[in-house]
Amino acid sequence: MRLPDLNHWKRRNSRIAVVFIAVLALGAGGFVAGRHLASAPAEAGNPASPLDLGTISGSDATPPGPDVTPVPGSTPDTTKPFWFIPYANAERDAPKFHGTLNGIEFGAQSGALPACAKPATPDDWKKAVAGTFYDLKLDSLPDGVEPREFARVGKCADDGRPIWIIAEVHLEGITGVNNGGGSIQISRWEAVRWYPQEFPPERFSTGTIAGRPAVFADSFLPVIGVAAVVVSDAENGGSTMLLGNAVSVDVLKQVAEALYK
Amino acid sequence: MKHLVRWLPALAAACGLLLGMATAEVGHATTYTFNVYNYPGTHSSTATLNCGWHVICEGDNPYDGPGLDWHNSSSEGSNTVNWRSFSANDQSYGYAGSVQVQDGTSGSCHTARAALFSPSGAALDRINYLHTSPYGTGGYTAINSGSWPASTEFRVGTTVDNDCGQFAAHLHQERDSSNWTKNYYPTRANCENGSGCSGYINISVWSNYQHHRTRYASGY
Repeated sequence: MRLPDLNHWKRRNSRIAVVFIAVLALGAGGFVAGRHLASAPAEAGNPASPLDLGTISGSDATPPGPDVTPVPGSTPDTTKPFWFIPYANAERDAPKFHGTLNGIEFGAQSGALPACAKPATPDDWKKAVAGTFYDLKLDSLPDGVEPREFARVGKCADDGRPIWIIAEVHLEGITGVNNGGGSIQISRWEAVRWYPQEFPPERFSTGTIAGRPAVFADSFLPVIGVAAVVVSDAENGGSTMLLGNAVSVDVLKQVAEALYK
Repeated sequence: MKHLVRWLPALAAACGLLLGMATAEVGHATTYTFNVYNYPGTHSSTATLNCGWHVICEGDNPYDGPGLDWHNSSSEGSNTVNWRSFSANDQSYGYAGSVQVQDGTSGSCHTARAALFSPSGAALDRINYLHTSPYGTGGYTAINSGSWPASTEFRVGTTVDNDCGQFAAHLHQERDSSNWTKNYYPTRANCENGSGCSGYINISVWSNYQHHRTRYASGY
């Protein structure tokens, strides 16, 4: 009878043990890698620029209070929840321009209104404005601008002429509009060349829209807050205002140009 | 058997990877859903409907629309206009976003616009309060939220009598986007058919909201 080769068994067992440990180590490594991959933050905003607002929709972070303003010269950190509020606070507290630019008065609480003893509402606003200066041609606006199906119109019951129109359009998916969408209130008034809206003086600039004198007011941050374009109209001695929410002033200018085509 | 031994390391790594992914905690960032319910902004916590869903409650103008008219007159003791909301979310976050009051006034028509923004600054459309002189423009007010509906109320303006030179004092409150859904209230057409536009509603009751919107995204 031949005795077993004990050295052979020892060598074989130690080889098996090494392989077993290696397999365990690979499994553990895979486990760690798997957990890391699955728990990586999902679309946390990834702001490539101050305009890329990300998709953070909820937060346990307490929003900055009304007295919190940004450190002077600091760059907005759009990865932080409510990052824009200190900038809005600073804008709210900044001195505002009250005066007239290109014939349009800002920061005014009253002024000339249409000469009309009996302002009224037309029965059918589309008929009331058809073929008049108050037909805003909302169907021919640039791509990405979705007109609502209605507008409000005021007429003068004395002679039936329209004297104002206020409409809203929604914008989405175009450059210069907040990634949640934006909107523009378009109003055209006879005789009105004054507005209560206030902006710091450095937000204003002047120019022309469709060859008409115009005033531009930029928002305090691109695509956050309010921007405006006001155009002086010779046809009715009044003006047309585009008041944007979460829309850049450049987009407002494009839409304004389209209104006069 | 030799094949099995050869592939054993790869098999172990793959099994570990799958097991790790399956058991990973995803608490840092996760899918998030919140709901915001917007209520009539009348000065009182009871509100009376003047006109069902409409654009302008006169003539042949549309008999359905984005807004409702509510009694709100200084003859009732106050004519303030308020943002009112309840908000809840599935992550128990404390805030759904913030609202900026904007001045939408032009000519003799006064409007306070309440623009909702997410914590990241994404615009989430507006609720417009017509015939309303705005109050507290420019600043942002946080919208409380939680696993149970949390309320937020603050003043956005004051009802203007004879607004646009023609409208008697009332609050017209409307959405600016169909992202806000409309609640059960009747249309103008139904009101004019006599299908019930009268009587008080208690706006402290959750189900009496006017508009509602949901948003899905990731959050922290």
